[in-house]
Amino acid sequence: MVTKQIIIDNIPRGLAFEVLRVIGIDGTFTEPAKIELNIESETLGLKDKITIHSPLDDRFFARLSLIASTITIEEIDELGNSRKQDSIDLPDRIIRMICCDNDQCITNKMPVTPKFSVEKEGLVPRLRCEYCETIIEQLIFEETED
Amino acid sequence: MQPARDIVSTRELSKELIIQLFNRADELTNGVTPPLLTGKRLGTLFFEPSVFVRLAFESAMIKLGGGVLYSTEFQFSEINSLTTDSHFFDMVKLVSDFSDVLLLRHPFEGSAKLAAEIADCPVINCGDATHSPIQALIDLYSIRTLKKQIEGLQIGLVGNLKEARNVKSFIEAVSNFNAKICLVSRDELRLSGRFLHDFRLRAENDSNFGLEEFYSLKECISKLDVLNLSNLEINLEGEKHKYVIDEAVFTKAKRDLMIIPPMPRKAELPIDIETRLSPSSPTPFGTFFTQAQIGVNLIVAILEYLLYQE
Repeated sequence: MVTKQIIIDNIPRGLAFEVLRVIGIDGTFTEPAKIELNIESETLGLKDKITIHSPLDDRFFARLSLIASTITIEEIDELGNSRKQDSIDLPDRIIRMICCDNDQCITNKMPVTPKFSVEKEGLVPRLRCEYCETIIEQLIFEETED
Repeated sequence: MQPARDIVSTRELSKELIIQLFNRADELTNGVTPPLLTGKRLGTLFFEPSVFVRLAFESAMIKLGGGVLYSTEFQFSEINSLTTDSHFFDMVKLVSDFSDVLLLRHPFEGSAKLAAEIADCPVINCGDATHSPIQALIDLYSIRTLKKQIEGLQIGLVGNLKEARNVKSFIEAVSNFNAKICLVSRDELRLSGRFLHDFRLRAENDSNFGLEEFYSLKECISKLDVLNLSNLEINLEGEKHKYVIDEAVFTKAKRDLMIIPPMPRKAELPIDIETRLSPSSPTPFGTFFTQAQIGVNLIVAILEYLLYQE
């Protein structure tokens, strides 16, 4: 499947820019993209939606689940075939993958593997660092060398 | 009941366990003799200074027949080298190998949790940057002892809430007991946003936990049952200032207002303020030394709980 378009939908209102940040789209992005804010939604009240006319690395899909459990991703190929996937179910605990955004946390002072417990009440999961016990305010992903 | 492995955070302590420890401390106060912990060793790793908590544990361990390993060369004088990577891992492992329980104070957030993963014995967190479960438990137990209950009380926290290590742990502990917390601070000294947001959410979703914020003590002093004075030093433009409380504000306070001063006390309040506020106070130092005595039985209960297995 050669992806022509990706639609990231059912983003809770106000989180579109966090989605863009997490999937690595900023001012240097050169492909066509459409960002819709505050669209009426039966389930969410208001929602955001992002349409990108280029493929997206699979690793970003899992990351979007950390922003909100409602987010859906639809891939459309050149022939108009569609493949839709819901957000993946988050585990109760996340080890590695993201870093604690509290710079005073021991995980940012010593070589310690970050661990987070996932609190799933509500649309937006809350990730609590198991060491400093703070709730993550900004998702910072661990980048590993290929 | 299976002994808790560690005491590193009040968040990890259930209400049942807290009550169990408090009840046991009451029994000890009423003359019950605790079982001896002969041969048990209390290891200490203090990367920052501590007077009250360390003395309380050392005193309790000696009272129980155990011994204290006072590792002077690992104390805070070598903070710069010992807070780095391998030193921390190695020191925790080494001292825990020689100990049956390990006391730790360290400046990084979450250091006690990490130590608990490394150590071969239970770890007790005597304070990191934002956790101070032992101080929180002592404060709360003192409140229960002197006010006879925790439920329904309005408890004020005033001072430099942003940098005080005991605030988060104290609020976590209080949140189990259907009491109300009043945070009092100027904007620049407010509790860190990441904690405040968390506690606000909890207060919204838990009718047993109340949280209110005030700019000045004048706004809430009349309804407070307890006033916990937190870190009363303020760093402004590199200079340390004292947070001094205007004594006049106490004219509107309840006559039986309980004041929990920071330890050691500084010049935040006149030293005889509690005696003048509460003439029936047993000592001219109010709850400060009373609390120290009350705290020792709680420490004994904690050591007994962690170390004594039938």
